[in-house]
Amino acid sequence: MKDEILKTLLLLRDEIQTHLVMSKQERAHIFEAISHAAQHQNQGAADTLVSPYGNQITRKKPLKSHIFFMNYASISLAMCLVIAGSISFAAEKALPGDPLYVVKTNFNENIQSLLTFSSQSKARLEAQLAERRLVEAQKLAVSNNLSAEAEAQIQVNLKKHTDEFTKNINEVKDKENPAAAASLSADFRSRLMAHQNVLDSLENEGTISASNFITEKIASIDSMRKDAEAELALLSPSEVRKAATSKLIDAEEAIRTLQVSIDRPNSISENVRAEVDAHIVVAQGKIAQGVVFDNEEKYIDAYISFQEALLSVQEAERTIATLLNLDVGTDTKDQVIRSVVNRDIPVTTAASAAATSTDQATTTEETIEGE
Amino acid sequence: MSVPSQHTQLERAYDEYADALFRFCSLKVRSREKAVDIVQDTFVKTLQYLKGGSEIQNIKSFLYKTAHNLIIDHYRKKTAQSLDEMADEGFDIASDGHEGLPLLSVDAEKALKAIQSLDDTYKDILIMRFVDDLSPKEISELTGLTENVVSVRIFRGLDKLRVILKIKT
Repeated sequence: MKDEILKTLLLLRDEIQTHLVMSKQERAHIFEAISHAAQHQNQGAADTLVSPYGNQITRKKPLKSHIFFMNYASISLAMCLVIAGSISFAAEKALPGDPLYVVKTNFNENIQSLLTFSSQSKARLEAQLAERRLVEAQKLAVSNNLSAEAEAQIQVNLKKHTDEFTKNINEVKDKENPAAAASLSADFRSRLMAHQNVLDSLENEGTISASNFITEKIASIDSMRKDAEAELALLSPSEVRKAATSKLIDAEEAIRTLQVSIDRPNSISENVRAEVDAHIVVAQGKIAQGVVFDNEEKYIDAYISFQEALLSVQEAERTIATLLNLDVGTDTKDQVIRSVVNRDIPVTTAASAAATSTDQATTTEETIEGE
Repeated sequence: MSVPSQHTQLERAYDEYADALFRFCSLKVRSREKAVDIVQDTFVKTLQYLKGGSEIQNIKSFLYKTAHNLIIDHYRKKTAQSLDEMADEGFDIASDGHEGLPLLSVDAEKALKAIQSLDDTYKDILIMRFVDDLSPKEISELTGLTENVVSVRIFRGLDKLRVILKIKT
């Protein structure tokens, strides 16, 4: 029978397609190599390409002849590169006001964004850079060095990063990936929230203005996330379920990270330990509720529950991490942590607006503004 | 084509075809390590081609063709081992314990062995058609044969497989 041979071949194809796949690392390595090649204009870039297994894969010219013909020009060029490298390295720790700060923001970080390929990773990078600006503001505020000028500089950069973030998120959404757009916005939100909590506690004029600026940004990011989630809610149940499952994994991972971080010595004081633990229990309750929704095939509700658990835990974890790197008193730390963990988990998803009645959607809006 | 749109084109192609190209290469070079290298080289070469200002009409065909050429280069470099020798060894996917190569079920393994035992004329085309899921048109672009020749070889190749696997027609 003709069918029989085709059936066997289909079986072979399916088995090979399932089993013979690249590992995540292999994929990531290749992607990096492509990004690397993308940054080099000349064909010669391939000479230095390193294979995922550490072998050189393209060798066009023998190396030895170069060494003999290395002249003064190339030696001085090499020295310049070494010096430029050390400057760029030293600049990584610069704060606004330092002469090297310009190198950090205009050179180092621009290179980083040049090396970033997809809209998703670009959005992620912009979120990280925005976070860096906030850490800088905090460090300056703690040492009482946050001048109006430095503050303005930080805000300009912060605006630049959030604008870039918005642009890239819109691209992610246009690529019909609302789940990724929602996750990235949610992630950025919890980063901003964490820093805002800390900035508020520092009660410095500069930090108040920065904090107000963040409030504005959080509102705009939230509205982006709501758009993305509303789009997500329109997808097929299996797609929504997939998004919910990955949220569940993220939320559980976030809980683990938080637990590990508070178990470390010198992490948080014993005064707030019980409150943080209670916060984790609330988040676990949210997750359990989400699992029930998932069993009832209410995938969008499950997504919302997991998202809420994730947001609340991530915010706490990031706030604690930020505080750890900051030279402030235990009382201030306790106070900030308390304010985070005792806040009610907000109902912040627009997906809920799509899933529930309009009344509830209005309440959702109010909750966000009330924060 | 502008640089960003080149990147998106290649990026999308990477998402879509990297795994398929990896399978294509693995089945030919019999080494996971080498297959990954070739996949990487394929994309880098394609990128360089795009950067040179050239446009690619069909990215899938282009990638396969590049990989195909790189595989040939790979064999040429192995001067110590003749091509015939390599072909004679066959490709024993299940039993040679190649790192990273999968264990297949009995039926699938039999089918693969049967394909491997065919002449190169049929073997390559059957693998492209039934394992890599390429259309006869794509195979014809890749191999330089006409679509008709490809279809005839698929048909005859299937007949030969039936004989080997003792499937009655």
